[in-house]
Amino acid sequence: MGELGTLLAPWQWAIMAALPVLLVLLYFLKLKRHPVEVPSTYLWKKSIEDLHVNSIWQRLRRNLLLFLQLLVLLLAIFALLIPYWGEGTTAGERYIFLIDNSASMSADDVKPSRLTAAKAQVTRFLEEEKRSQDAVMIISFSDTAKIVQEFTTSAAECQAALAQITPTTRRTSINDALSYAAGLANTPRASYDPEDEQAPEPLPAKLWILSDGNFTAPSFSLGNLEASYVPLGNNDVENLAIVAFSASRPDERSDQMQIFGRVENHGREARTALAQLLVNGQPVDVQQVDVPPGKSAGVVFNQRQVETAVLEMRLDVTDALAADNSAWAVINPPRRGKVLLVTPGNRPLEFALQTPRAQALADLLIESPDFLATDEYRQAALSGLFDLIIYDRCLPEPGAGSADAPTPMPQSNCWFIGLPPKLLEWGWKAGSPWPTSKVVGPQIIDLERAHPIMQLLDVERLLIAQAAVLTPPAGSVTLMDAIALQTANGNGGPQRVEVPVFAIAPRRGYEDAVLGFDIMTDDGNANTDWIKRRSFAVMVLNVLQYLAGGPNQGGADSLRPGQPIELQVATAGERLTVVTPSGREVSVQRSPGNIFRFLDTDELGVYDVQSEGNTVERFAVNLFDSQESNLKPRAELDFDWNKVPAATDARPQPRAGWKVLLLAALFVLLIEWYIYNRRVYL
Amino acid sequence: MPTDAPLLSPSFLAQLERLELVTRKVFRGRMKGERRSKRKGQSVEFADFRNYVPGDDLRFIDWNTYARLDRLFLKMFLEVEDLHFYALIDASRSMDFGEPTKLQYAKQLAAALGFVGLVRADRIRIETLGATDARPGPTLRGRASVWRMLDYLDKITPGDGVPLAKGVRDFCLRNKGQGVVVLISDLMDKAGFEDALRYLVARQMDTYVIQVLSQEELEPELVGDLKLVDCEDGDVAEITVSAPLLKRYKETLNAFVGSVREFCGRRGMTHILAHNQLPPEQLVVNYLRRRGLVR
Repeated sequence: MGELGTLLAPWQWAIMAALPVLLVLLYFLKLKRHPVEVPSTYLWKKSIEDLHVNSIWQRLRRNLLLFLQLLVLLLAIFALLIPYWGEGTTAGERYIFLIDNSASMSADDVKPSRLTAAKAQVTRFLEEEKRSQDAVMIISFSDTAKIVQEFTTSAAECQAALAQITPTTRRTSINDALSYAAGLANTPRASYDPEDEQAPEPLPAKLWILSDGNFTAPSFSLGNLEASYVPLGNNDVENLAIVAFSASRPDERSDQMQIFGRVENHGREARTALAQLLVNGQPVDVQQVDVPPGKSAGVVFNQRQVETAVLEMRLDVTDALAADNSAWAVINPPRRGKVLLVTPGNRPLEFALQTPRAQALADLLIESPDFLATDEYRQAALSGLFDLIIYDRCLPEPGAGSADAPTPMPQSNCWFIGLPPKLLEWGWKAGSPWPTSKVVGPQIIDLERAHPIMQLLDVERLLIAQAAVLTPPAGSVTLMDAIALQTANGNGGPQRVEVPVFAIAPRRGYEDAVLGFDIMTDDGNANTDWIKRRSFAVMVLNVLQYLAGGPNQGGADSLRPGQPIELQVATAGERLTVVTPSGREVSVQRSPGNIFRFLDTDELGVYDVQSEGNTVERFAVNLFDSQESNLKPRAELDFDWNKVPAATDARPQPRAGWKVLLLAALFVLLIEWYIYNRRVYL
Repeated sequence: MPTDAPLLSPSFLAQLERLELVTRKVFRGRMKGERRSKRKGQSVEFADFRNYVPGDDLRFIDWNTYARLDRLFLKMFLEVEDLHFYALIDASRSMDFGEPTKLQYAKQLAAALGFVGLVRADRIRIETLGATDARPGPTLRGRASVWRMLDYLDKITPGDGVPLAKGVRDFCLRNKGQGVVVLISDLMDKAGFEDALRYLVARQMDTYVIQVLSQEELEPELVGDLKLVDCEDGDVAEITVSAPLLKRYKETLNAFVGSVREFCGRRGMTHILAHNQLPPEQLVVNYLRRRGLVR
């Protein structure tokens, strides 16, 4: 049994003390008796004769009902005083409240929302439990933490700080919040020396984590923090969430657009929902999705390819969290790519790269192989200035000193013509000749027509004089297969072999296409008759579209809320205007490096990037977070070092005595009623 | 107070037919009745002889004795007389309580006893305590008067606020004769019942006191803080009903009844406690018979 305390002001005490006196007074005054006519009061008079003799005190002496009423009143008063006992709060406790305001805290399974419930708990603490000398600190956290209120003893300041905490759409990470909280409570680890005067005194504090626990709890030692975790939310909460949504162009059909969404069910029961697709705000398609509990299901829409569009997928369901029932993707107009052609001279290729269609797709820069040795090239290659670099019969220099080193690859897509890159993946070995072997007169026997580069090509009876044998790496796609006579390597006569002559392989986010045969030989003759065909120009255009087409089209680069974006916009102005989904306009200054950094991505939806009033680009911000969408509150937090089980209430456990007292008062009232009716005399 | 039920039911009447009023004392009746009297008179029952004195009725001379002894004796016979029966009903307002009311109960008792008397040719007089000389109760005799008696009883209404003692005194002044008197009352008089009973004792009447109490008085079912108002004098008693008070009340009641019984017993009166839940038939046939009022 600790200290018995209460939260009343003296004047309230005075009122309370006056009540019993009032009751006794009323007891004297109240006797408004119910008149009853009786045959004779003769016997009654005789019966109460000795009572008449009694003074007022004697009258009270035996009045059990009055005593019981007084007892009821006292108990009720005591209950009103909100006494508490048990783990008392001794002078100057420190409380730190960590309030989760991540996306999942907007769930309305606890009305009106989890965050409001969390704030209400803190408010209740401030109103009912906090004593004047207690210091309170409030930290809100989503993916970052923010100290909304430093340690203060003022409840009003805390209330004001609470009001500042607004729901966000961000993910959850408690690390920062814990660090802030621990900053004062735990002495820095460096000062173990007890003699160290510089080391600040550790200030133990009570830590209250108000969250749904849907984050990856870090490994963290709480030290002097006495942590309690108040889980918010219901265990049987239902939520259907879109966790992925993107649009892509299927490789096979360039005029089609495939829009893909993934829906997760975080509830306990299988759900069926209608997924609606809106293009530029207009509903165009709807599909039914059946999602088993705890599982996910995909939904695919096929639409005609469009140059620019805002796609939105909506789930027509009612669940606890509304933020994940819509997802957006944008298809920006294709950006003009930047293409570098390094060639000793290749008029047919240059010509094909400068057709009007090709010029619309990309800007072309033509350099001789000497350019590869310059710093300018190295800088451009490293910075990814070009979207596509075409190496015609040349390779980038491996750098100073070692001639026999693998080819340094640029930060861009590449197209090697006639000479594969010197990479282990492509079969290169240090010291061996490159290319390893050549074939003469390969006959094209197969095309990978599904690949975008091979679309609409007619290469029948293509004549090729000589080609290098390609050894495409794993994961590559062979675009052209040929049958050729391989010149023997000391193994008798030439052999008919099947060799790939055109292949494309991925490389760390980029793709390298390698054409095994030259288009023009070094002496200015054609190595193939492809250049005389229309399909050559088509093939070059396909390569430009595929490899120089700028960033992936449609939704793949959806941002998470709060994630910054670097906008690369070809504009002359020094500032851009970004219009957020809610219609707010944010001006963005050009940063060094020709990019615009935009940080204010807290809203979900599609942001318009405008330059001088025209939309130049759009990007979408989506929640896409399974962890946030999984609304089921965690039963305990596991910080590796400490496990914090769920508490029920943000109160420092003083057993609020008023409930007990009120119950006792009720009980006494019952006894009184019984006595009154049964005329029991104790 | 109006009553629908007849005062006497036919079956009750049949029972009453077999009864007669008894008195422990022998009084002089005024008329010939069915009772032996101390007086010698005319009847078939022989009593004594006495010497003839001139002037005596020659019809009563015992001629057989004269023949043998040659002296004239007069044969004397016991006189057979009637009995004076008075029923004195307290019709004060306090009697107008209970279900049935105590007054109704008193009327039933009076009717039953009166009927017995009338059947046996006794002289019956029924009065209320409030009755005055101006409107005394009727004196009845003979079976034919049953309806007059019932009619009179029916007309008795509660409301005469005459103190018990005064009512009894007036009664005694009006009725000089001796006989059996049955006082039917609740005896709840703040001035006390003793004076009233003393008047009856002084008359040397054969007195029966039937104290009628209602169930409400015997077992009060009161609850809460009450202001009890006396229906007769408006007197107020403020009580808070509690178990001890009720206990005390019962003690007081028992003491009161006991004091009446003792008072009566000492003075040769018979006290009978009746409550209104006890059927009058039972009271008359069982209790009164046992107490010797009827047989």
